[in-house]
Amino acid sequence: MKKSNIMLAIALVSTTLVANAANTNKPFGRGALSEQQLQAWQINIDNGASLLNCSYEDDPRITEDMEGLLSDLSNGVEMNPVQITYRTLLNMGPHSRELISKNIKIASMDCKNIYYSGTEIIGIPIIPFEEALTIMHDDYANYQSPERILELKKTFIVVSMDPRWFWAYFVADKAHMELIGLDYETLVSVEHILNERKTQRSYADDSYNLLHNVFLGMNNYGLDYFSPDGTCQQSEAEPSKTTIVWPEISDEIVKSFYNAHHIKYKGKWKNKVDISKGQASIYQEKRIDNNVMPAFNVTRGLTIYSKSCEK
Amino acid sequence: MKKLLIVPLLALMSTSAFAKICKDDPRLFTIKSVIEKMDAGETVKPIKLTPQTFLDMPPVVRNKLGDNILVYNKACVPNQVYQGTLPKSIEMPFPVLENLLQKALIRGDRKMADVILNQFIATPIKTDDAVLLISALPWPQSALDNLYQYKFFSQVVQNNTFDDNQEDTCDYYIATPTHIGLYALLGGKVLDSTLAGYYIEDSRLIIATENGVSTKNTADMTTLAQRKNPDNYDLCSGISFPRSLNSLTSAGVKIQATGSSYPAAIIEDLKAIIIARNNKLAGE
Repeated sequence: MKKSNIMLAIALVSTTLVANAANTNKPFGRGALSEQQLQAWQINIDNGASLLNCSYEDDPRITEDMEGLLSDLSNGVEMNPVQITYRTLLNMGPHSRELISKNIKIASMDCKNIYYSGTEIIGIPIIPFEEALTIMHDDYANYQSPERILELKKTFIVVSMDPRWFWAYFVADKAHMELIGLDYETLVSVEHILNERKTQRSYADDSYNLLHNVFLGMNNYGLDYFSPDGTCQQSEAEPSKTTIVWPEISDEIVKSFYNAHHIKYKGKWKNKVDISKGQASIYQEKRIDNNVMPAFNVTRGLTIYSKSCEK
Repeated sequence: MKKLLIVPLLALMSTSAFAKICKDDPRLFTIKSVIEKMDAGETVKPIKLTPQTFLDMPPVVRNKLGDNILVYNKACVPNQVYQGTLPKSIEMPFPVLENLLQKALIRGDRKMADVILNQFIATPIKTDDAVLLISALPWPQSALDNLYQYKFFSQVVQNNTFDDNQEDTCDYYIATPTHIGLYALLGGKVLDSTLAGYYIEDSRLIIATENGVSTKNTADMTTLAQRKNPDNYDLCSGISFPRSLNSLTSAGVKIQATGSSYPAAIIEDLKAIIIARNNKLAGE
């Protein structure tokens, strides 16, 4: 099948049999994260988009009055373009997509207008990793087609993220993948395809690395502790244990993650109690005020530095 | 020490600045209907596009619209597209062109990548800003792979050693392209004749200009490579220093080697060169 025909197929065919309710278009919509975790993530997304003065979300009309919206589009009623996330667009049935395409822009974290011809995206949307992960997961769950996954890969770029968000939400072992709401085995298959592995990679001993490798397999703008003004910045602020998806994450895992992304750090997490061998660590958390990123409201003794810091 | 932070955000801010002046035709939100009308044989006024949107357009939509496209130039004057090409080259800020080329390569859109390289020119910049472009392109691997596959960049084996000691050469490694390499490829030139000096020390390329701007590209800043000598634990910089220096020269930077290994000393060397040159001119 020619590449252009695959794209046509991706665009026209209803992509999601797995997810079929409007609420599954929300971040982690099928998972079991707490309200606090969901809110913290949403603030992360909102803050990112607001840097360039836009919002990253589906047009409220899509969830509040889809039928009315489609009727107006069908009747050619004049209206502002309907903003829609890439995930929601792909989840739509062909009839809804046909109508939405009449007056549409696809949301992008860089606030650019991404247009849609009904079959082709004009531009490349920049999207959050959670959304990218879900798109890939759902497509493979429905079609088991490596070709589709590799074509989908070309259609979006994953937005840059502060590494602390990544390890708080996506460095999680197999047992905790359910909290994110996606099937572990499906994601293993997606990872193999994205990284074009010739042989199977076993995650038996390090399932917590799976989503990181999925991220690396996608087109992405990296993980970075970003300094907005280019000066050297440092921070000891981290997400609290109520925000972190995998409670057993250790500072050794976090540090090796920082090393993989050339993120400089100093210190280590301080243990709360004496640990017997084989027990999970319990780390001290000291509360701090953080007006810039309220979800990062504790310190455990580890400091990270922006790349703009001199060695 | 000035640093120019080349990140996608910078590209986007430049994009926004350009888009304030010229805006895409609002019919792009309803482009589906426009194409349907054209397919039905109706006459449609040409669609006016910013260069960014023109370059973002996938082949299928481009072919549908054909030459029914006008593209704004730098002065916001729309130019007719003819057989997919523009009548004259358009100058655009480098971060914007870099971002557009990256996206075309991610899409695997070789034709549009060719258009960017042949019909667009990077806006001239100061030498002080050019020397700060010696940093690895932080592109997704798929974009870098296509950069090589389409032969826009040749693959250069890494070897940044200053001396000829073969045991200290870097292991076989493909050097990552740099911002300055791409800037030169996009026809970018510097505006001034500011002097710059450089010194290569092991895995570092140290550059300074007569105005006091300096940079030292260290192994930490780019992807790393090992040395052939297993006892030498110093890592190699992931970019090619000779290619970076050639790119600076292609961009018109007046750069020369110096004997000094740190920025302040390089600046002093440059000042001495300038004084000697001025004295010679005065004597003549």
